[in-house]
Amino acid sequence: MRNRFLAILLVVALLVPTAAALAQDGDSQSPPQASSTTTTPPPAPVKSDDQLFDGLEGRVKIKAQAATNLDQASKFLEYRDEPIGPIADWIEVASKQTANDDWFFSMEVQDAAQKDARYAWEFGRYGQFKVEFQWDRIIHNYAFNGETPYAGIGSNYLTLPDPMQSALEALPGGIVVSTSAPTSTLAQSTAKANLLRSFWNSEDVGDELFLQRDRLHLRTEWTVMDPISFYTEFRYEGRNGQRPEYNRLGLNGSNTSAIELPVPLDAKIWEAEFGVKYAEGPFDATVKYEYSKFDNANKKFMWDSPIRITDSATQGPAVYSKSLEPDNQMHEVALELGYSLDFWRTRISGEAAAAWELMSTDLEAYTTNSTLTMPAALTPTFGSGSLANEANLPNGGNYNAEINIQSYNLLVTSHPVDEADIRATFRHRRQNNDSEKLDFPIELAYGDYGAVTNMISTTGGYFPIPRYEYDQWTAGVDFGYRVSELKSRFFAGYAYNEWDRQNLIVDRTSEHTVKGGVETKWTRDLKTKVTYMQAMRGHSERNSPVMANSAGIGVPQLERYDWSNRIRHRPRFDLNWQIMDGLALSGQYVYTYDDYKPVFGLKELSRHEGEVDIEIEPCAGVMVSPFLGYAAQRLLQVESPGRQSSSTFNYTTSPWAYDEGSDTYTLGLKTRFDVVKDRLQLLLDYRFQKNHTDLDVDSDLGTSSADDANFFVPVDINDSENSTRNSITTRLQWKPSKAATLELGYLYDQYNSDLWLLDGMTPIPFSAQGAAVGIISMNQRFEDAEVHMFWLSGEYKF
Amino acid sequence: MIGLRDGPRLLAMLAVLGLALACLASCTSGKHPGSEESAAWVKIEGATYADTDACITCHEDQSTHLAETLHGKKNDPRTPAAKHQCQSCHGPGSVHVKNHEDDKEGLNDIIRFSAKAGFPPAQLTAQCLSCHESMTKSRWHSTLHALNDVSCVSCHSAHSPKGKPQLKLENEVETCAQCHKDVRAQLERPSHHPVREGKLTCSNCHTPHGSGHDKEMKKTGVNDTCFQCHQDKRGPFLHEHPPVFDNCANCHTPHGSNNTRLLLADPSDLCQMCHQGSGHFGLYDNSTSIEGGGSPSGRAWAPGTRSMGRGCLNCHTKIHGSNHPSGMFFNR
Repeated sequence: MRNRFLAILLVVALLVPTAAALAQDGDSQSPPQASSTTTTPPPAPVKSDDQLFDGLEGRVKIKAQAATNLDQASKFLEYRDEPIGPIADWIEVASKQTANDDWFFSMEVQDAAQKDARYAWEFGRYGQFKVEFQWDRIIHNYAFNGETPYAGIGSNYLTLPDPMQSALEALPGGIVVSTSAPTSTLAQSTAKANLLRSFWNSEDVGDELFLQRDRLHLRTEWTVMDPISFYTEFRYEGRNGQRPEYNRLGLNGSNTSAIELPVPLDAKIWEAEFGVKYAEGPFDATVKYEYSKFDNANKKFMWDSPIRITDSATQGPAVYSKSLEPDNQMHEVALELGYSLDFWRTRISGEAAAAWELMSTDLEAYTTNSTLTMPAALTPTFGSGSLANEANLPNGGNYNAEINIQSYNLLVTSHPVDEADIRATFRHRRQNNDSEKLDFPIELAYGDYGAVTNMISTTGGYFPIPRYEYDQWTAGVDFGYRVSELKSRFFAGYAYNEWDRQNLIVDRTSEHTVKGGVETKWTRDLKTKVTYMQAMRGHSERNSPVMANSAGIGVPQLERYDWSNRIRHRPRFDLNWQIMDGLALSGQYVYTYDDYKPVFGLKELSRHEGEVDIEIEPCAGVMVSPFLGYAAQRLLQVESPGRQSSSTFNYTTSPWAYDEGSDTYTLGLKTRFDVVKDRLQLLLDYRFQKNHTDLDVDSDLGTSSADDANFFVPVDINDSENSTRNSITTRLQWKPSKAATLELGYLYDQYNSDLWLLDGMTPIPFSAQGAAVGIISMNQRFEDAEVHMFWLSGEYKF
Repeated sequence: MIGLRDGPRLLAMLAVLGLALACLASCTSGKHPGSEESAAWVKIEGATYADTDACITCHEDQSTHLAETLHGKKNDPRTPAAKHQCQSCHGPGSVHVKNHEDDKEGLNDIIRFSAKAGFPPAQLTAQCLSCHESMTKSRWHSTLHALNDVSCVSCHSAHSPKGKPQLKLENEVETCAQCHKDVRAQLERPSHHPVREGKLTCSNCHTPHGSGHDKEMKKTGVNDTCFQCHQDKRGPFLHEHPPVFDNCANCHTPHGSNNTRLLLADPSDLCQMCHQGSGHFGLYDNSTSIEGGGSPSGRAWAPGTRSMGRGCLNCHTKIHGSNHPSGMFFNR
């Protein structure tokens, strides 16, 4: 609240020089008096020599608002802040735009002192230089009122209270674990689940889980050496908050225990860009360099297990750890060239760019359990010693990675005759991987201690880490021809894409795309466009060496790639129709259908997307605009009995299919009614949105005893989830003068969200955690919410 | 032997050579599509530049509005106001003035930018590009926008802009959605970038005037475009996940989704598109409903642990890449 009062003071402070400017300008505030006999433009204000600007202009909008139920409306506040009380909603001050000024200046303040505030400032001289500054804060509220008994929220080490661990050990079957038997498990039970749930229920995070990005942007442009110009950009971002993420808990040994924890976010990003442009006549060129650096303050995240190691000297908890995103850097240089030829009005442009993505860091140790040592079988390859010691990692625990990217593109556009156009495209991108070729044991998996050794000892070797690389090629040509007699333009195109991969199971993917269509302007008021595109994609080659190294894992997956050859059909229809004065219709519909040919995996992916807008102006001062937006997707996966085998990777004895459909439709109505022309206006926006997702898993489960015993056949599932949103915004605007506007507003926003559709948070209801024994969430999700918000705002233009 | 894989080097060399030759040619050529002379292909027969006051006689409102925009800065020699004023863009107006005096004004006696006037969009664009050809607009000709009859005035308004920069409508999203309505429909989905909230806009990822890249993305590839904001996912990592390395859009749909984190499908179902049967059984092997609640006959597994929450990501949390020596399966 204090900050917002400061913001109001800032507004007042800004108004003072504004008022001074107004007084200085005097008569120029009167609107120009139009005259039917006037033959010259209104005289532009002329500034004196000691003035940079002709004066100031802008607007200030101050708002007072009240709302109900905001503390539950995490979806409503997902990306914004709506404080109660006075708000400096918008402040805009700029040098007056007149014909004779050389200098310009502008400042914008949006949502001052709020969590989503934005400040922008611009200054310069026409035709010579410009300086832009912007500070913007983006928030992402994941959800409110999370629950966890962990302490240390915001740090990279979360701890559990001793009483909880003691209580767990006291339960029947609550065995203690020892370093001598690290793979032992704590069998799951309802009693343990209930105990854990009670601990979770009794605790509160005390803070929202959110991501906050403070972004600063400073750009300068210099054109003083025309035709050469320069630009510089500096960008900084501070990233803070806590992100909900699942992690292992270690309640049993079946790899099914997961717990949702607030993972700390604390990173800084530094970026700089410099460029020189030359543009003279038909030729232009740009050379630029860009640098980006990501610094993460937390490269490791640790959390206590509810189980303590009871046979060690310390009797402390087992501690899990995992790596977080490492620091990285990127350099890029690029050269862009363009040239225009009179011949066929041809334009040639191209770009060559090279980038380096670098990462050099000390890796975290395998485990926090200092009693674990490297198995003897692996010692010759990986050395010996404690696995909790980073120095015992290969290469002393230091790892250097480097990705080199080169890309080229060349575009040629030509018009052999006025009616025709041709466009040719060529692109290539190569991504090399020059990272260190270090190998590590396949996996030191989690267990009750945060580490077990069995996978190392049974594997007795290591899994080579492949270094992926690829080339991507695109070559295409588009033709267009206008037939004036038919009021139409016909167009067609072909493109070839190829991906050549190294060290990946699928070596080569190729795709042929053809498209065509016609755009017709039937009358001045009616225009349609019909397009059809078909893309045929195939995976044609296997990478045998990778297959050899992927025994037991890679080969079955390979089948999925082999059979994922795809044909995409994509018709599209556009309409723009001014039916009559005061009535216009526009719409678009796009259908995408991907037809795969798998033995298993994705079989069909289809999407419908479109929108219809109608604008009705039945009489002067009244406007009604209904619209309907629709976006839907259906995804079908299949499994075939043909893949049954006696190995670990047997799959099914009967076919089954998994079908997921999701759709969103938005129905809206915007209205404007001028109650008193230029004085009193009523605006009403209504929006209804429904999101629907359904699952349909069909299988032959139960038709044979073999199926019942086969874990690879799912049970039938038929479930659907919905979320809806109703939103009404009503605004009554009164303009006592041309400069002032008062607004009285009311917003009603209702979210009704079922469990799992909305983004940002886990969908598990806390009540279900007793049944879903392997998962403990923070009990955060987007709650049903009903927000009522009222405001009174005043806007003054000067 | 030169193969397809040698193509880029060859083509790059050819391109550089071609551009060098073109530069030389430009020394002897005074005309090009970007020059004022070239804009004359929309010439009105017999027209010459009229007295500038003649325009204001009838079009005072437009003149007043123009003076409040960058185009109206007389002190800047680059602007239309410093050249032929209105006729810098609308072409020589003598025929139009004469027709008006004779009360027989015709639609094609001066260059008009409204859609109803029916001037070919490419011709209107040529008028604008006579000044704006250079700098960031140099790739305009190669965009699908240009080839699909989108002209400058489809998005911008010289006289009465409602949004910055000189936009015809209030903001970029509304402007782009004039044609890309399918994208706006996706933006309405529950999982979305903060575009509706005004914190991001179309041009954060796309360059409408042409970038030379696929989908006119700002950067050379999908991943590079995403890494503008998601630098933490850039890596490189010790353990890399091939589809991430390949293309973020393998799993994410950036314009909106009904699934968490802009995912193409519900997390566990998404992974199954490639990893079905890779050792972890079928997706719904052990749950009777999405919420869990009981296990089917003959099955001893706890319900829902791989399908609830974030599905596979419950354990494989570092799916974008892991820097842990035991992060081969992206769970550390």
